[in-house]
Amino acid sequence: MFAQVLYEGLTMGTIYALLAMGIALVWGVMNILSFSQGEFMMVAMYITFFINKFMNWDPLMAMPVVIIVMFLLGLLIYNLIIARALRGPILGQRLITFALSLVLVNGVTLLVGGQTKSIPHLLFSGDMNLGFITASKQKLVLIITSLAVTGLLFFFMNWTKIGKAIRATSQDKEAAGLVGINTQVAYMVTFGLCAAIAGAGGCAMTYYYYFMPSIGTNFMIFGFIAVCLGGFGSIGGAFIGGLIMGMIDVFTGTYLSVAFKYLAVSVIFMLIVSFRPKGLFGR
Amino acid sequence: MKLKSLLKSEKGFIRQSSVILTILILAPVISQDEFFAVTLCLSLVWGIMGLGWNVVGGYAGQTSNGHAMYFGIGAYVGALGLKWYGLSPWLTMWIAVILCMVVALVVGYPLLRLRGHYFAIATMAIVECVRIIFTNWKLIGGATGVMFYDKTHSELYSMQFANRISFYYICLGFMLIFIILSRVLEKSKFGYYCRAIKANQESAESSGINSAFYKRWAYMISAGIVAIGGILYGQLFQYIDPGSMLPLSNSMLIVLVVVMGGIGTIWGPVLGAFIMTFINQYARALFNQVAGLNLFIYGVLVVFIVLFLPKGIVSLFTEERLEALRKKLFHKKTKTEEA
Repeated sequence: MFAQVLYEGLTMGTIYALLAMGIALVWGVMNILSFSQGEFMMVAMYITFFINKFMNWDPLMAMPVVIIVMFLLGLLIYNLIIARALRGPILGQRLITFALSLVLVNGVTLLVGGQTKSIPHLLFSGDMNLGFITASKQKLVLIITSLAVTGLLFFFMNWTKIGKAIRATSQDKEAAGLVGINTQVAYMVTFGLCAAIAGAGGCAMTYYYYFMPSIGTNFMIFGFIAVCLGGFGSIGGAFIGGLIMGMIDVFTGTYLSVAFKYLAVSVIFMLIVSFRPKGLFGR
Repeated sequence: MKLKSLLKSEKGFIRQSSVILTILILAPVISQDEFFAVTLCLSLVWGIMGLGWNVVGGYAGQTSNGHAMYFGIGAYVGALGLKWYGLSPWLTMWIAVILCMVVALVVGYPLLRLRGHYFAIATMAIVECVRIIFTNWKLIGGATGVMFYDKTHSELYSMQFANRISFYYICLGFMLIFIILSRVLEKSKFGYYCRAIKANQESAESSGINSAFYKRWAYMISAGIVAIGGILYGQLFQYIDPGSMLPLSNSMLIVLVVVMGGIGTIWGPVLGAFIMTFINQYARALFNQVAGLNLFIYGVLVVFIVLFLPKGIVSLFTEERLEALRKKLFHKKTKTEEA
């Protein structure tokens, strides 16, 4: 029972972690609280759905395409909206991402309607009986995707030139500009990257979730909480924060009460933030 | 003597408010349509909440994303007081205001120490807590909400008018009170301290301002004002439920109302509320077969306003432009008199 709950917690945790890493990236580099991250995930789910419907590709096969499409969408949104908003006040930046989420949710509702959808035929489905737990293969896909995305992101941020440029920009924009880093490009790639993370996440989530246009909004606040738990905009912190969130979510849901599990998440968050105002791993 | 000098120094404000109030008082004359009247009432309710948020968000610079909590608590106090005990909203509104201020005091203690995005997220999380509690609390109706249409008392006592226009004037009265309150706060030492904290908390503290104290009071006052907005909303529709009172989008819409109109100004929240409500209501009514179009239009509009008018729509009406307009109107009038 305990191991089973742990497995479910890990699944939820990786969803939150995928969401939180995108938020943390935008937060850490551009200091924007991005409300549109959950909606990027939702858009990615619908792209996956339509690729599956018209070309009959499995979500796993469609994933590279979705990631690229989402990356380009991120670049487009950055150039059209965010680059301009960055010159304005912080509250304006936050509200613009919220307005963007309104546009995306209601735009998708206008285009495809508000019904719940799911992908009918999957490459991996069913359960594996491992003796002590029954692991659903669909959830395993989600966990592996999340770990792979995290690994790739770490590799990208630490070993590639543009990743290093992004980290330098996040530490000190002016100084990074002085040593010859094109900070505009760094910002642009960051925003594209966070949309691409949402793309991978949304694509993997279609394996396991029913989805409708409002799904991103439901996850949003928990993504934020995960980022806060991890502490100021660090990607590793966001990943761990997401896992902690998933564990709290599933453990309170199983052992205490399903109705109050989100209450537990919020209360634990409030307690942590009251005593450590910069998050668990914050500086 | 003092009154005279006060009137003189507030001449511009009095002129502005008399013009705007005249427009608002005459607004129901435009159309006798029920829908139009409801939209007007709703605009005023959102305007009151915007004015409330403006105290903490606009003047003190603490951009709370959780004011739906006070909106919800206010509406529930009014609804349950009327349904269970037959208490008039005129009475329960004081209870709601005091309750919300106490809640704000308790919540504000830990939360107001947080800065920036952390404060925003923490306030969002606390509304989420309240929403879950209200949704699962069977005693107060749970997820199905509360119906409290009241037939036993007079319309004035229960604040539920068959004729929406009467309700509109009550809302207008409250709004006038809060506009004057905002003006008093803006001109008082309290307002200056709040703006100093907004500009730079460290330097405000170093010049002797107790920032925690003033932030807490700003938060409490704004909670109280939003609670009145909640009561009025409840009495307007006679039905409330946690799903429509306490979602994240309500908290954000309160912020959007203020930012669209003009943050830190008096007329900004009022203007923003009217624009938001009219777009929302009429887009929903006109395109009722197309789900989601109203918020789509609204979202696009917000993007444009935040990008191109970062100080809100009121920044279009600068002193010079108003002066020019006044001259033009005045000039025309003298011409017609001559003729």
